[in-house]
Amino acid sequence: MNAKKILGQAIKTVCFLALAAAVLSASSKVLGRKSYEGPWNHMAKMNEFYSMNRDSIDYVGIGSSHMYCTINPLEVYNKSDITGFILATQRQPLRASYYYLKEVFKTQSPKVVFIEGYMGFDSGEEIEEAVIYDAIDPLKLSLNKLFMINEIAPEGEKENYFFNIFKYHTRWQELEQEDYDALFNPPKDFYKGYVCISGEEEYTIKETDYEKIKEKDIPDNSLSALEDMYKLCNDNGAKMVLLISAYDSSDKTYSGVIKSEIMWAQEKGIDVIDITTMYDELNIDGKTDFYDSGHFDVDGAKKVSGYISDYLVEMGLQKNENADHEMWEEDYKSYIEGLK
Amino acid sequence: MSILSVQFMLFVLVLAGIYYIFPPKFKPYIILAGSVFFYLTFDWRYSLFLLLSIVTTFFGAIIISKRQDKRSKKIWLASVLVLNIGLLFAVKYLPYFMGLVSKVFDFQDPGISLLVPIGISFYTLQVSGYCIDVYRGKYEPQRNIFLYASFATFFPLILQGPISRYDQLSKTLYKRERGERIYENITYGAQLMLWGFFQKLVIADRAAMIVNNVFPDYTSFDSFGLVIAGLCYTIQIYTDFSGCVDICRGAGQILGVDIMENFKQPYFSISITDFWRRWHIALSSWLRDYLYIPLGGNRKGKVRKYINVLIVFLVSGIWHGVGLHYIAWGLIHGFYQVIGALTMPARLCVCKALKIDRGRWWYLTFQRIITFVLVSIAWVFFRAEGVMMSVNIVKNMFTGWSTYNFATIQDLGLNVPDLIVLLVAVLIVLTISICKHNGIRIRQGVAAIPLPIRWIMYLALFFVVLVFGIYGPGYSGASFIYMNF
Repeated sequence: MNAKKILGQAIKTVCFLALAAAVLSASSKVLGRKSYEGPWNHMAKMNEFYSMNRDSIDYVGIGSSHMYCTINPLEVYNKSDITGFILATQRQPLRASYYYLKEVFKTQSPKVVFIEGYMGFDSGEEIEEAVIYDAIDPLKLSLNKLFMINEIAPEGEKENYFFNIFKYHTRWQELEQEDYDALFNPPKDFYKGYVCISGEEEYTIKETDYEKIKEKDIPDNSLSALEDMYKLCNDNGAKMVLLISAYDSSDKTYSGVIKSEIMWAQEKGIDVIDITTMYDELNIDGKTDFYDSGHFDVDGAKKVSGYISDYLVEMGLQKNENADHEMWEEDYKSYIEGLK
Repeated sequence: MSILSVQFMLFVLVLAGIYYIFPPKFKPYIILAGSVFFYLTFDWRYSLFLLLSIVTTFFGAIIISKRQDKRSKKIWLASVLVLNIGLLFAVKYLPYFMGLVSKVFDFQDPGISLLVPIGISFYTLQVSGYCIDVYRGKYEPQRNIFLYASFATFFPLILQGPISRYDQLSKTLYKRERGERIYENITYGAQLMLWGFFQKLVIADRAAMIVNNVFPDYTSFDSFGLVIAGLCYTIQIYTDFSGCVDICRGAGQILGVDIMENFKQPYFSISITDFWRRWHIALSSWLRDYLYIPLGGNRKGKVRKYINVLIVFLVSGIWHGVGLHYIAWGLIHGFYQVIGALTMPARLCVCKALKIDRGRWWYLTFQRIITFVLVSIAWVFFRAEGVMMSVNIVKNMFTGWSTYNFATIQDLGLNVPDLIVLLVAVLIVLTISICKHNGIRIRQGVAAIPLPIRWIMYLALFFVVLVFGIYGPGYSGASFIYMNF
């Protein structure tokens, strides 16, 4: 068999496989689950993140829903011109947060990294399927994503996360315009990862008294995630801050572990911002500032974001020259318009 | 490792890579290593049974070939067969048999539970056939145990056949030559696997949704529903078996090993006898060569012939599964053929009297429809979970007609979009089958199509399997609603 024929066959094979990969990729994009209802559209939020200018973000917030309801980057920007992004998904395990942080450092050089500690209690043994898909799906295909899948996806099902079309292909009967748009015009939203929600319920809030809480061991996988994120921040010149947002501190499932996380952070010299001990200081009102008992609404997030903004200024952060400030201004206006 | 899994596809690719990199003389050993690895991905204890079969039949065949007197040869052959087929019977049928006996003689079921090695029904017949062929002097026994083991364990065949003959399989399994048609092997093999996935995932598993909904709850459905479910099972069992065999044949083809076709458009058969020349050809030819002919075949008179046919199909029923309904299914096919043979003179008389040309297309179509209906009725016994349930389903298919609202066909288990996909997919398979039945060589025909159009066809089939295949964990929007935020 001559070399020319072999080369021709090799080229044909590569071309065909590339086309097959394109079919697979396009089908996955169309059939993949896009979002929950509007504010929780994590796909759109990650698309927005990937479109940010390189090194244009000076802080990030990573964690669970307790993060994405707490810091509103547009409010922070409005107060101090400091740009940031929230990369959080529902019940995001801390091990997943580690991979999100790695994703951040590929294109951004944040100076401050807020790690929200609510999910520290989770041992990682029984993670809900929806939580895992929610964390994994929005990321672009990369080695980082592969490692994330390998670590947090259940044994025997990892290929369903890598080729998520295995999971979502049955959606062919319920496709809508947003599914087709995902192929050529993927949606983004301007909230910079924040989930903008309003609440109507009133809650009685009480600041956490850690003197009355007995610490509980941090599960191994959560502790290792915190350690790894701390190291990653140090390696990339970023300051890690442990953020504890609103939660029901009377529930010892969470409070004991959170106390241990705070102690761990203090031993490492990591700043801790515990909102649950600052309700008076921040003038948090149970009647107006909560979506539910564990999550701030837009008014509560505004108050917290104001504090975060001051904190960042104290850390020496300033307006980032790489950021598209025109876009930020426009996005802030859109956000305000949306509140009306 | 399921043949429908990503892991299996990766396994075949990696094995093919190693296989083609190494010199040809290593080919059977690489295949053996791959086959052993494949089998070990199931319960490792299964491999002990497989090893026993390999060792006993390998040495048994050599001893048989060395023996001079026929009686001694026979004794050795009988010993090897009793050991291997006895083992098959013991692990697969003994618990059920003991349960039956305990019911008949009213004592407590001992509750025997035995490990049933995967593929034992297939590889036992394969190696037994080898020993019988050596006994008959058809070929010399293989003297290299590793080469023999590569035949006995060949991974595309071990789970669900086709049961291959040593002289046929060894031609390409042991072929050692440079300049193999690597590109053609891989492309043809991949195409065959893709076609197999289409049949299995798009058609068989979709039809199964109706079958699995209707059969267990058959009393809730009228004749229309039962007939549709019966028809779906007829489609399901063919496309499931044929699809899986094509996936396995494709995997073999990728490695340059030719595996026999197991189906030749069986639902185009003009008689039950014809059906068994087209359906599960490997098994039916094995039963013909190693059971029917040794029993005397049709050489000892009509009555003996009919008895032999019934014995063969009784064995076929037993081989297919554990349960009286499998035996009933086998015997039904046996009786079909006996009745067909008995009524043939009368039918010929009628045709002669009415001046019917039995070669005319409409008569052949009529025969095909009758055969299809008979086969489909028999399939009810294969699928249902007991003889009485089967009888009731068949009875209700004829006696339970009512005014059926076609709009409620969705009550059978598939919504309208899925039904449309099923119908279109079946039409595609039907079209291909008609082409093959008329002698059109599909693979060669496709190869002659211009490259861009060919690629569009392959990618379209790939897309169809990807999107419309019934596989994966399934998606439900409800499970993604984060109730607790």
